[in-house]
Order: sequence, then C-alpha cells, then structure tokens
Amino acid sequence: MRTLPLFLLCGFLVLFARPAQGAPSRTYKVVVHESNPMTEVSRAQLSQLFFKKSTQWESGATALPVDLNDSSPVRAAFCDEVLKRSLPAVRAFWQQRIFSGRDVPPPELASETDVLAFVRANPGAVGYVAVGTPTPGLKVVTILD
Amino acid sequence: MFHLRWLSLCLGVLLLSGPASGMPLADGKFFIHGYGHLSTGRTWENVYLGSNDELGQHDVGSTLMFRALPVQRLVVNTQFSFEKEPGESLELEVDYAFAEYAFSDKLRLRVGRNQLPLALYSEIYDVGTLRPFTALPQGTYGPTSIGAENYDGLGLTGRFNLPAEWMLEYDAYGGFLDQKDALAMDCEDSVGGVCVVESQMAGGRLALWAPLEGLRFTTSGFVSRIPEKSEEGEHDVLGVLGVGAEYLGESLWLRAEFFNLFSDAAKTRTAYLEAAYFLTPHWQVSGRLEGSRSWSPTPIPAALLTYLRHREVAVGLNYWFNPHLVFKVSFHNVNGNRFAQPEPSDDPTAFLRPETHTKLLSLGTQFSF
Repeated sequence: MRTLPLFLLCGFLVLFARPAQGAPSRTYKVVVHESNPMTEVSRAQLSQLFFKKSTQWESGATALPVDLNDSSPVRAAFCDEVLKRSLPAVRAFWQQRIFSGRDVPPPELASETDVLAFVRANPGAVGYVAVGTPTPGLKVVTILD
Repeated sequence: MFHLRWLSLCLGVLLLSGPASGMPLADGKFFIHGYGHLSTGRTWENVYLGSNDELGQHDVGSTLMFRALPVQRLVVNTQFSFEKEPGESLELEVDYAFAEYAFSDKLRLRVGRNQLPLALYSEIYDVGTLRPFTALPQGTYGPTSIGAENYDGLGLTGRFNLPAEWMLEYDAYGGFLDQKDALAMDCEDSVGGVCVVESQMAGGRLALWAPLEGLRFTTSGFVSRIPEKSEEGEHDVLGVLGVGAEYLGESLWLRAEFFNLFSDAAKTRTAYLEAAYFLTPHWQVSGRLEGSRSWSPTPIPAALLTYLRHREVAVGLNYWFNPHLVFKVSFHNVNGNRFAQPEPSDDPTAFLRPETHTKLLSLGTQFSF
C-alpha cells in the first residue's frame, strides 16, 4: 500500500518536470563606450537602465541606453531575457510613462551600425547588437544573471 | 451624412494609427505624441456616460502632446486636447503645460499646469490604449470631487531605488485645482455639465514598484479648500485619500482602487476592481465591478437616496490591432442614479421617481501614437 502513494507522488512530480537544459546561449551582446570602467553588469541593473528606473552608472556618469528598432529579432530577445517582458509589454510600459509626462523611451535606431555609432559617440551609452556583429572600438560587457 | 462622416473618421484613424509610434525630432530633443477616441453608445433608461436611448450620441476627442528637452536636465511638456462631448461643440483645452528641472533622479521640480499625480489613472485620464474599457470607473474618475486631470502650481517628484529591485516614486504638490462638484447647489462655472469650483490644494502620492515588472502599489490624496468663505464664515475643506494596486502583465491586467472623500458637504467611499485578459495577442476580454456611495449631512428623502448610490458590473470585448489601436465593445449594468440620471425634462416627477436600473451598450475606438 505504501508503494501506491509513492508511485502517485513520482507521477505527479514527473508532470512538472522539464527536460534538463543548460543556460540559454545569448543571441546578443551588450556594448558600452571603451572609456566606461564597467566590465560586467547585472541583468537587473541593465533592466533598470533600459526602463530608465536608474539613469546613472555606478561611476556617476549619466547612462544613455539605446534600442534597436522594434522589428529586430535581437531586440525581441533582449526584451524577453534582460527586461523580462515581451516587446509589446515594454511598449505599453513606455506609453504609460510618456503620457503621464514622466519620461520617454531610449532612442530607437534603425540598424546595428547606427547603434554602434551612437555608443562610440557617447561615453555613457549602452546598447546591444547581435552576438556575431563586430564591435571595433567598443567594450563588450558580460551580463551577470 | 452623419454615418458617412463617422466612418470616414474611423478609416482615417485606422490608416494613421497602424504604423504610428510617436515622433522623436531634433536629434532626440523634441517629441510629438498623441491619442484620440471616438465612441458611441445606447442606454436603456437614463443618460449614462453621455449616451441615451438613441445610438448615435458620440464622444470625439484627440490630443497632441509635445515634449522638448532644450537643455540638459530641463524638460518642457505641453498637451492640447480637442474634445467634443455629446450635445456640445468641439473645444480646445490646454491639459497641461509645465517645465521640469531634474536636480537628480531623487528630486525633480515641476512648475506650471501639471498632471495631477493621484490614483492610477489621473495622469493618463484620456489615454484609451492604456485601459480595458472606453470609460474610466465613474466613482473615482467621473463627475466627482475625487478625480481631476491637472492642477496649476508647483510639484516635486523623484524616485529611490530600494534593495531587491524595489523602487519608490514620490510626488508632492501644491497649487490650485478646478474641482468638480456634481452636488453643488449654485454653480458659477461648469465643464461638461458638471459644476467646477476653483480651490487651493496640497497633496501627494507614493508609488511602490515591485521587482515583478508591472506590479505597483499606490497611496495618494490631497486636501483642498475653497478660497471664499461660506455663509458660516468658514472655508469649505475637502480631503481625498485612497490606495490602489496595479498589475500589468503579459496577458493579465489587474487594477483595484479604494478612495475616501471627506468634507462637510458630503462623504463618499468608492472602489472598483478591474481585470482584463488577452485570449490571443489581439482579443482581450475585460470585466469591472464598481461601487460608490455618498452620505449627506442633511436628511434626504428615501426615494432620492438613489442619487447618492452607484453600483456597476461591466463586461467588455476588445480587439487590439496593435498596442496603439483598439476597438472596444462593452455592456454595463448600473444600479443607482449617482451617475446614470434621467434625461433632463420639464416633468419634475421624472427626477423624483427615477428608474434606478440602467443598461448601457458602449462602442468605441481609441488610438495613440
């Protein structure tokens, strides 16, 4: 009789079990100006910078986040994994901030080339591009989960 | 002809709103945004939300918002609205025009005509793409002394990052407020048929943002007084205090608020619970429960107490073309005549013996860019 509850418990746990997975490989990388002293940044801090809940780096410099345009799959992945929201939900968040007169979203640039040029031109800037995109003259920072 | 114009407007909205998403200009130093709405409805008994027993009453409005960043730390915001309520002509209003100087994230100073940081919806009063129903809950945001869109004066705002990804945002303000007073006996000024009284006020709001994105808790309120003394030689003073919670998730939106209004003229308690759920990326179902009750210090005949009561159950179905354009249809079942009132007539018995039960079918489209 003891085996039946044990069997049912195992069956119940199996229902919630998922196949073992490693850490998901990222499809993007985060870049900052080469003068930025940061070498790594937590996901939470990155999220706060892109939602403008924080507007400064730890050094005190003003942070300037920059987004790719919303048709970019790299942006969708960045929203899902770093901001922990889908792109429509991020847009809804910014609608609320815009119309309540609080803030405007980071600039949206048309291409990765534009994003890289923006980050090169602004010491406080932070952006993201596809993981395979060359980023000469910029620093790639590690994202800590 | 009317239907043709209405359809043309709808088509224009559809064409404009699809690709629209705001316009950053001047290298990110100047922004133009806007929103608008078209709505109609039909009631069975009484007039509610501007609708009566003839489908065709309509409410039209559009708003343009300009935000400029002339120098670092300084932001100038202005917003203009064109509104046409049932039976009235199109009017231009300045919703707000203020300058904000950011000393830091923790301290920003606002001067001018500001959005009123009260409750969950006051700052986004007319933005239909940020809510599941065409109209806001009337007990809090309707023709009462609680909800207002803006104030003239000075405000402080800022935010503090707390441990574990919590964030606290605060507002403190003072100045002048055009306060709606639907129960006023003598009225010198009115907006949309509701008496407006200029008053001095001071208030504040605390908003606690949780680590779970989309979740926040608020408490807000203000105290106001009418500058002129009453017949008793005293200033009429009014206090508003409330709490609210909001969760805007991927599929689920939840909002709940409770407000209390204290004054010598009347006391009011109002609350609502609103939920909406995306069945698919386009289809959303919504529901709302609301109750509002006022008490008068002077005795009121039992038959007229219904003018101090409002209970409402509403259900809705929305189709979102994208986050900037939505079509909404909703059905509202109302008990009480606080906000659903008999059509104005020369027959006083219509007012003295009102039908207390009102049903409303509402249709509308709302967009933003």
